[in-house]
Amino acid sequence: MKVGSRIIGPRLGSKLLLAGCVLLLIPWLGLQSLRAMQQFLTDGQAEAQLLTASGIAALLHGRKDLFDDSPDSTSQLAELPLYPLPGRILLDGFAEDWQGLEQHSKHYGTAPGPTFSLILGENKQRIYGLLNVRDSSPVYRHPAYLRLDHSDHVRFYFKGTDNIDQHLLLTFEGKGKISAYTVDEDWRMATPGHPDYRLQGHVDIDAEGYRIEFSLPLTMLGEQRQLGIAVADVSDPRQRTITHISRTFPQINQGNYNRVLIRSVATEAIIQGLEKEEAQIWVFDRDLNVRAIAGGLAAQREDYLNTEEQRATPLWQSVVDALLGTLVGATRQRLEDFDPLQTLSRDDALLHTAIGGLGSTQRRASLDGRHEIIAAAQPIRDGDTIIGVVLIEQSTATILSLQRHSLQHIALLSLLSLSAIVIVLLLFSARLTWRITRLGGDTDRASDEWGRMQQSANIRGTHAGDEIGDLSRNIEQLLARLARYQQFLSALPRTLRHEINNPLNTASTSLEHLQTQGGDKTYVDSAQRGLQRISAIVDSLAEAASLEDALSSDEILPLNLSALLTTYIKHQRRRCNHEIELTTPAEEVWVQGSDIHIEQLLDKLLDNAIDFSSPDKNIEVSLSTDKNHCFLRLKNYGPIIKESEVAALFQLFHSRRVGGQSQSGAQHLGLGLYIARLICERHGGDLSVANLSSGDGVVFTATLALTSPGQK
Amino acid sequence: MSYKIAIVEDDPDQRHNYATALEKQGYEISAYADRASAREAMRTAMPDLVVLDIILGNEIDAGFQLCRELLAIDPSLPVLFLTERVDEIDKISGLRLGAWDYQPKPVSLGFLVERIASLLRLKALRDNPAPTAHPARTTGHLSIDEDAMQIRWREQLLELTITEFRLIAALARRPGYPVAYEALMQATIQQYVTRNTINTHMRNIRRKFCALDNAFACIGNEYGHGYRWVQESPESPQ
Repeated sequence: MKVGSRIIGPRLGSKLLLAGCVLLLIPWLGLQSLRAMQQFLTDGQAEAQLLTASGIAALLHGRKDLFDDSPDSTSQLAELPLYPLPGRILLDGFAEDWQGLEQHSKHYGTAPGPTFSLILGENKQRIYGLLNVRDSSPVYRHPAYLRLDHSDHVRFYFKGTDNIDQHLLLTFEGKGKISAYTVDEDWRMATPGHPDYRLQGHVDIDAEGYRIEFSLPLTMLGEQRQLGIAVADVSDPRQRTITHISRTFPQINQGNYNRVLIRSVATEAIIQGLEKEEAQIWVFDRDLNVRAIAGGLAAQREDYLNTEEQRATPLWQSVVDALLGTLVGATRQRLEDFDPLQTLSRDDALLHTAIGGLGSTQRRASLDGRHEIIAAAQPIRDGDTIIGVVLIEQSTATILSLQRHSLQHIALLSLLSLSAIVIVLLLFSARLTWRITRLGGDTDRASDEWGRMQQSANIRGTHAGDEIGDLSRNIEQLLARLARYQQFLSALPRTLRHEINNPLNTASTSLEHLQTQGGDKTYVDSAQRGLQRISAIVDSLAEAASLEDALSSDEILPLNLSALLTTYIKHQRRRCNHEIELTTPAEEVWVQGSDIHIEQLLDKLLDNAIDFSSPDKNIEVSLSTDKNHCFLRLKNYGPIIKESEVAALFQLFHSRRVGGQSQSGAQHLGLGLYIARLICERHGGDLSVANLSSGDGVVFTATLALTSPGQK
Repeated sequence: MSYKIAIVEDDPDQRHNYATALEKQGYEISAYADRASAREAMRTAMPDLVVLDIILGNEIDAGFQLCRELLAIDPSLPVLFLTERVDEIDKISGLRLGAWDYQPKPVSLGFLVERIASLLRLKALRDNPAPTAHPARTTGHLSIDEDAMQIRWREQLLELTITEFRLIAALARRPGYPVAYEALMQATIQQYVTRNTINTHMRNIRRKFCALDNAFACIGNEYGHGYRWVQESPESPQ
């Protein structure tokens, strides 16, 4: 803030507000402690997970059987991977709900035979499959034919629960549902004659071929979990003979098909009971193949139809979410951490450590990058050997949502307390400022612009008990002391006059005696003149000091100012060396005042004008009026007044005259303009001075209040 | 026989100067420095005229008190205050007590001598009214008796100090003509007179006239010059 040319600090209110900014530390500290708490909770969770992992590991301790594969060595068999599916598959022939998993399909068959791709998934104890056959001219089943091999069809080979080979044939009569039949050894006739409803499927046909989505219960497969799929192609719709067959397993199979890579049902049954929300339990074998998975990090997909509804959150919610996400990493977004490739085997450093015999924890970002996941792994032992690894993964979402609530709480409380404090501070500072301003105003009003104390200074707020109250009282006392001192000062000239008159009289009477005794007249006279001057000085001083009294005791009467001025100037023209030009308005000007003092005012102003007028220059006197005031202007041509001198001009003991002598030789003490100003103020106006715009003279303007018409 | 004049003044130099000047005029002078001694001496021998200072030693109102006591004994005793207390209020209280004149210091000895002479002459005249040598001058309702130093307005006597008498006399000498401040200053025959002094006197004179006659407006200001005696309008009764 700038006052005049000085730069000063901000106002009190701003300072208090600035100081109040320290309060912003409170939410910051809250945030810091929240982060520390988050760290603590995360560590705790990691510990708990590790503990749970060892618990599960202990549960699986020694259960070597769970990690053993089927007794006969089937490792030469080609494997059909069975991917765990995040959700249910709608059997409609479209690949959308496989969520990109279809890209991991395996391709089978070579030209000229039919080529096809296959992907298998598992969800809720059912196997799902997507079979994509390249066949630009499919031959559909003819309803008139009983034989099933007279059209394009798919053959399922598998070993049932009793390890007996079973054959299922899938055939279709066009786009839509497919039918599955248990068939004889030659794949010609359906043995029971009716479809096998355990296998369901749907076919969709386009220009490039056909696509079959199917599902069958996992329990249809026996313990050996062998499954083979072959696609038979009939190219001539009239002959309807099988031209080629493409298989997922070698043709010379010795009764074995593909081994379905499936997790251990028994293990999964064990850990199923330990399932936790937002936690996923994995069991791996030594080769880090997945043996069992329980639970899931992401909620099941059944509700994906509702997600649109869930996304329609209000704008402020999204803003708050974004803000909280920045501050603590909390998010309301769904966790996406499903990678189908990882559902069969994993290769984490953590798991390798566990295989090495050391349980440990690790934190990682979720695959969607929005969440943090804590993973804890413990080895499963069988005596001294390590037979597998338990991995528990859990997101920190619970902690984060806890933290999120705390943060909202803290933010709300901080906001409330901050605004309350700010309001209180504002009110308090406004009150303080108001009191200080009032005190300043009162102090200011205690003296007029010339520094004279008012008769009774009115300082308010002296009853307050605080420091401002002290200040008010101090100022009140100070002003009272100043007023007393000023009274003393104004009484001083009169006292002085009393005291000086006595010795003056002694000197004066003695001089007279000296004169009558024949003293040298020259010296006696000069001594008399000196005494006269002292007397005049003392009188002037007393006059200036007591003019207030004199003015207030004077009779204030309606006065015809224009007539007074005309008479005055008429008489002054005879005495004055300068021409005096007088301009008065046509109508009479009446003021309420004391004629003697107005005459005195004219004396002082004219005296001043004459003293500073260049020789042979006119002095111009004019009287004019406006609504409430009349303006008496005395203009003289001569030296101008410096700007810096103007303020001091009307003060006591200020004289522009060199050596204090005027042209008339009278003594000047710098009282004239001071007295003139007092007289103007007493008459409801003021006295001002300005240099002429031509720069060769000065005009004094005395303003006096006009008599209101009613008072005339 | 010579008049006996008592001077009460605490300053020895001034007392000596007054006494010397008045003795030269052939008066019989007795001078006192304080109220007690003056009071004691005058109980036995009353002077013809008393010159009083107001502040005597530590008693700031001793002169007033003495005046009251003396006038209680002899109400016709001319008392002349000669004092450094020049405030209006002091002047008024002095004259109210019954003093004949009130002169502020500094005073010229010549003036003092002349003033005392006129007071004594006035006292003699009042004690033994003799046919006046000069008849009273009249101007309208104003009648001025130079010998008795008395002024009447509409047949009523005005209580004036000698200075005030002289100022009115100077104004009324040429009714209707302005009298300059300088002439009025000379008329007071005081030593140090300013315009303000004249203005103050004139204001007091007006007040005294107005006390007798509310419609009095015969003293007119000549702003920037002085005063003049305004003749009453012809239709007012003579």
